[in-house]
Amino acid sequence: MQAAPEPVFEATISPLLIALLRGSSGTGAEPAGHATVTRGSCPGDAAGDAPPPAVQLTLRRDGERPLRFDGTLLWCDAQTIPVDGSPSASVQRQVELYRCAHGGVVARIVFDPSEGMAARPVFRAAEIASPEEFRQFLDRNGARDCFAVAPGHHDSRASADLDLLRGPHRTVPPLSPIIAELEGSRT
Amino acid sequence: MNYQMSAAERAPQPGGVADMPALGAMSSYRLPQPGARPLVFSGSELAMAMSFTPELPYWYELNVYRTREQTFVLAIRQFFQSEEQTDIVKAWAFDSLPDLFDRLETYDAGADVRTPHLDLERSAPAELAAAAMDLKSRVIAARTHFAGLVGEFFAQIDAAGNGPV
Repeated sequence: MQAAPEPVFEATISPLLIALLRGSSGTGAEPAGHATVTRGSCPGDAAGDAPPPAVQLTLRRDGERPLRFDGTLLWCDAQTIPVDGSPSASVQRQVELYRCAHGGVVARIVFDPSEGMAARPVFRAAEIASPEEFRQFLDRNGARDCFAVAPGHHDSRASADLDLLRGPHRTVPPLSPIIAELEGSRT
Repeated sequence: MNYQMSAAERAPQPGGVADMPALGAMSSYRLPQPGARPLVFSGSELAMAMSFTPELPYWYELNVYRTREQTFVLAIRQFFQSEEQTDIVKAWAFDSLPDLFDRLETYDAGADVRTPHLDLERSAPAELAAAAMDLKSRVIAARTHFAGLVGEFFAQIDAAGNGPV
């Protein structure tokens, strides 16, 4: 893995733009509170825990407006995958499933490469309707996308490592019953 | 980089200073558009985002303006590290912010990738195949790069205002 080019993104937003988006002249009331989820906290594992109440959630997405919905985090899985055999080069992957208040299911995947790599974080989220759609979501959004901004900066071994991050592997089996249960609850 | 934004895009202000206006300050703009007349307006800059990375050959900058007539302008600039490449600016006017955000979401950065000159008569098939693969990877890189910047832009709006985008 070669060192560096990690695109640095920077944004500056004026208060006027926020006021315009709120539909006021800048002195209007604050909107109802919501949670911007940069990385979800996995729900507790204790059996019998009552599901938390639905809250308004905002999930960042590459290339799109954030996905907003009322819901609860159902499940998440976080893994650190070493890249290129180096302990300092890795990609943190987090997969999350949310139940929407309207009955749907939202899947999200975040890839966060370690500092100093020629890579960018990846944020993807989409509503899914079936286990098959979830598998397709995972297939579409691989850690290789982190490195797409700097083609040629990772070698074939890194590519092999990243291939392992694609496709249905250990995140899929425990999710299918969850989605099936959700599908059942909607009918 | 051979595109001087402050000199080429800002119309001179009577008695004004030549440096860039602060975010939100009223100024006059003249944004050159490839294949179209320049977009000229007075207004203020509402937001900007950029993806400057010294090691990468190019970066993007997004700017959102509100005009004096209460319309909105989106400018997408692509800057190149190489002096041999001409920087690009594209600008569009919109009646509303949602329309502007729609354009931002649907902008195809892959179209900004310049195609290499290939002599189809003299190039070997392997050479053409390698060029095609290189072109494909650069299109994916541009789209991924731009999508990351757009995601950052919307996320910062969300973080700044806690309001709907």
